[in-house]
Amino acid sequence: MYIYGSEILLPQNFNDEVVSELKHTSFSSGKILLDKDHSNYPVRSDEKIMRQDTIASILCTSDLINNSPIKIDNYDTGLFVGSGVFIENVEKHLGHLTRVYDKIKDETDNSEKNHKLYRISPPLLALQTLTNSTMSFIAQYVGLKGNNATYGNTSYSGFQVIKQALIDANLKKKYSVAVSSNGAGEYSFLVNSVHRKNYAGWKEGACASSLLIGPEKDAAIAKIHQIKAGSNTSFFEGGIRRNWAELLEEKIDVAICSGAFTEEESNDDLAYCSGFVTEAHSLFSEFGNLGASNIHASINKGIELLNSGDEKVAILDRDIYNRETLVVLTK
Amino acid sequence: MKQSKVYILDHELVSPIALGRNDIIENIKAGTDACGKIENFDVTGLPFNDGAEVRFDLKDLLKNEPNSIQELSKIDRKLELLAAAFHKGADRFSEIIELANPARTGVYMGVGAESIPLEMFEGDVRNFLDKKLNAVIELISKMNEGGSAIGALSNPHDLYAVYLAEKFNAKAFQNSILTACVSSTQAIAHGYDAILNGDADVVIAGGTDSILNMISLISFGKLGVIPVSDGSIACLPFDINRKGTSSGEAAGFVIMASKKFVEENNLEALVSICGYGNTLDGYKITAPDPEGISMAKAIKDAIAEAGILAEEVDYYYAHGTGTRQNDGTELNAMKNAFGVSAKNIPISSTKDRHGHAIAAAGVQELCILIELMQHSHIPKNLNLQTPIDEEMNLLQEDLSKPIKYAVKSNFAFGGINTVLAVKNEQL
Repeated sequence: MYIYGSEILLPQNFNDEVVSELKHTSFSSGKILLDKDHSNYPVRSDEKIMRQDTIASILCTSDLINNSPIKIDNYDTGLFVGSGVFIENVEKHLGHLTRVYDKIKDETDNSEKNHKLYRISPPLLALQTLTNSTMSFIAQYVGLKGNNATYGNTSYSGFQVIKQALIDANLKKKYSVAVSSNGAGEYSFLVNSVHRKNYAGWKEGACASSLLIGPEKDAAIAKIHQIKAGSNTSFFEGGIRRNWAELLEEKIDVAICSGAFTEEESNDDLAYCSGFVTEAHSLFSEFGNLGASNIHASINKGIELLNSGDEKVAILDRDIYNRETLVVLTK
Repeated sequence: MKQSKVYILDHELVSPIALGRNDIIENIKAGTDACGKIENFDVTGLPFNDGAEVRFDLKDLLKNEPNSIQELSKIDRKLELLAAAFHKGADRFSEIIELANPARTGVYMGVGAESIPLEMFEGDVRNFLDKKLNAVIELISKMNEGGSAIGALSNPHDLYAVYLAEKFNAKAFQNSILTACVSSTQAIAHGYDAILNGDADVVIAGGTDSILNMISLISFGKLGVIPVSDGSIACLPFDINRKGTSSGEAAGFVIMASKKFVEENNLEALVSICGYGNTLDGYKITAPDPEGISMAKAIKDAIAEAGILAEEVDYYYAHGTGTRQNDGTELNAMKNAFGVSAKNIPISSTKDRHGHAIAAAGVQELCILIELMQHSHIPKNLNLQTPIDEEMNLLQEDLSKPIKYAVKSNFAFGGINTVLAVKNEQL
């Protein structure tokens, strides 16, 4: 199976964000810079219910389709979206509810309390946190109408969108767009950091990326040579277990690994990979953990390495439940 | 022309109308209506107070779970319902677990949006607010201690798939689908693909969801899909006086297997999935395409993949939410897809009995369909008085007749249409 195009918007502005003032937790968070002059930038009425990564996914997918060397049929082309955490900004999405509690703190009548809670809640709350909004908005703005699903919300979803695109290519000889959309942010930190005892140096980045995948060799920029998931089922043990080497079925010289949330974890990943490849890369230092976009970002980098002369690149990822995945790219 | 199919060997369901699969048919035949005033939390003062709750005591089913799961289940209804569904059928599932190769067993779970039950932590929230702190952040920080691997409050959506995978020792994959009202329908559809593609012999596919909490109820109510409670019946699918759906909750799953696995182990299948259609409207986030073009294509794709003709469909088990927008569009799409045969096919929805379980809607209704097929029973639209379309066969009485082929539709907010073609393997 083959990749015909890859578009990505990586995080650019990293800032230290304080999460809990009581616990003194903070992390480094990167945002996507959006091109508001893009010809397919959403209209204002839609923009106000979109997360930044949703907008970025629309822009990426628009560019992917516009630049595609293959003419695709909208009704027959799949759209699979791996999506990260859906509360991009706790204050924006949930702040109004807590402010309601503030306003009703002296209210002892439950009926009056609930009435006020209802009255003050924004009308579009369900849309702002709708789990499939990225996919539905891409369909609306780009026109894709085929087989689809939104997977989420750890980095494993980035693997599954590629896998489902390959299934469609294999079973139905169809093309698919595999999108990853990661919001990062404070809520993502809260959800993921519970799995770690130490979160000093935690770094996450928002990201969006789209890949066009299909069955024909013509016009391909890379081949997906192998795709495989690990077989760990000790999901609730916590900590980190590294078994990537066991996924490889052949000798590969170059690997790009992801899954780390801290520099220390990233360094340990690179040291582990150096045990079985001659050249190990990680995008962590530059972009942090990209969640659902980890694998897409590594594939984007992998295509660069193929273009600069490498024959084969192993894309390795590990999600927060220690689920490991492998995608091998060749020219 | 017949293509390929994937078999369903077993299923389990915790629903407002059934604590376990064995309760389903009796309650469907009896016309059990689980919709009514919400009791699990205080809804006084809200304009809507109707919903279909799972009111069975689930505590005993979870008694052997580790403390972390039991504690989380007290505030995570989705996990509580799913764990209960597993334990309800655990004795039966042990045979499959023994026969299946873990490396060739996978999980697909449809999961609903996260909803922090702030109403359960009002004291904490007020305390943080008094200190001028961000209450939600501080609440989660307080609840979730590092290194536990299971957060006491907020967890990744994958929690439910990995929970079930651990129970079934499913090592091949553990996927979570987050596509609102079609999540579990897509879980079944893509589980079917995974087996046909040779990625697994056995797939556990289903979903879990509950919108019976304060934030979800308000959110859906403000969107206008839940009717204001006025003492009249809340959920009237396909009725001219329909005004919205009934909020619900459920968890369930089916055990799907390849033909090879069934034959090698001499197992008996209940039904098979013999095709699916899955399309996007690409119209508007807030409304389905009123022409229902993609909806109709999903239905056509499902029966085409199954290799059956419209006149062979014995039952169209509708999404039928009871909302103004869905039901008319669904009937138009059905007419488009089935052509002249459309008016002959019996149509009903069961959301008037068990409410709308959103991400678990598809699996809840597939579990019901499996039992309907086993018992040759087609249920009426329970609350239908004045059909919106007199030409269509919108059932107002139950039918007793064999169902060889059925079409099960689910449609989601954001314009997503997922349709399964299901064959009775007992006929």
